[in-house]
Amino acid sequence: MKSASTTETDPAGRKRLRPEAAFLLKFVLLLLLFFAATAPKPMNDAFVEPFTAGVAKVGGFAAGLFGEETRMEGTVIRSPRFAVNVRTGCNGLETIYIFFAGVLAFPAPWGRKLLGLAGGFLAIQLLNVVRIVSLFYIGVYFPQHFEDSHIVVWQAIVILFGVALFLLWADRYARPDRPAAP
Amino acid sequence: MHDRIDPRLRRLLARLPLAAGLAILLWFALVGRPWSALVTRASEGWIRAAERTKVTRLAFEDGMVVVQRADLSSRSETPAFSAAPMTANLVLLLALLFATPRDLRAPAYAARVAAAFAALLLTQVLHLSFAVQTLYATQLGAWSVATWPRWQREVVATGRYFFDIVGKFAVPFVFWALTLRIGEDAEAGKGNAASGKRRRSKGKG
Repeated sequence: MKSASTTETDPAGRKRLRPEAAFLLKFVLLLLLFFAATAPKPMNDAFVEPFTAGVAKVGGFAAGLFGEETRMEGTVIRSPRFAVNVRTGCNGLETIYIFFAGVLAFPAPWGRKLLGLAGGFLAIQLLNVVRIVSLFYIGVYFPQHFEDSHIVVWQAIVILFGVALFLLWADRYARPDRPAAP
Repeated sequence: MHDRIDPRLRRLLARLPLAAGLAILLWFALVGRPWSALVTRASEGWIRAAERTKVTRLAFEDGMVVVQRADLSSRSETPAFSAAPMTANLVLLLALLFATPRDLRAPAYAARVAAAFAALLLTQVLHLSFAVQTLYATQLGAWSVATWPRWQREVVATGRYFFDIVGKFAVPFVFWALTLRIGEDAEAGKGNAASGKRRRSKGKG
């Protein structure tokens, strides 16, 4: 069996990290960077909280489209039947961090990276709005299943969506062009 | 931009929704409770190993981690929290593994998968331990303030927050990536190309 070394030798004879090991290392470092940049309270208050309130507002608006009488109180979507508090962890940022770290760590031209970041952000937030509205209605009709739906089902769906989106972007937009068929 | 998706990726993406459904079903029907109980037991061992006086007892009851300290008053309320936010990321790893087509699997796949589960368990133990320490450091009133210096409170709370926000979602992806063929495939491709060149140059010579 071939040993799975994390390094390889470049044409000049120097040892360097294999591309996939370099990707994973950059990916983890970028995640740590995103966390360090947004976790401290001043950054959280200045950036994450308003962002979460914005996400909640869009979620409340979307629930309103289904005829629900919703009103917003900060990050809380409230109706006469149920209330959902959109907190850090349900604002889609965790998936965006993973997707952004993947795109930025992947060797690709910057134009394609920027395209990926913008498209991925929109797609993830769109799915997140679906998550918020569906959780709101699960809370209305099946409150006993709210926690499981929130913690197990929807978190898995949103994260796997982010991972799938990254893999698709990496394959479709970031892979070197294949040689034309003869 | 390519017109066609890599066929292996196409298969993975096509399988992913079904794999996710299967993983979620498996979590609720079979795996969730025993796995969370295992993480709770392992965390208790880990926490007690680090304690000078062994006081922490963790019990897994009805999906909750119940934290019992031998030195807490029996009149105090017993703290407890849900285990799923720390252990349910197993669903992500299961879904990704179920969706992985055979030709994307690395050599020694079974060993790598076992290592991925072990590594995930280790990170969950770390996460749960941070959660228990954060509870001690911040939620037990005057005792917390008197016993835990400010910097220690910050360290354990930051550790827990990291896993809550990013860590628990990212680790299954990283451990899954380590079970894939990506690197080996490229290397094998290069090797084949090189041996092909050698064969051709021998033929010319």
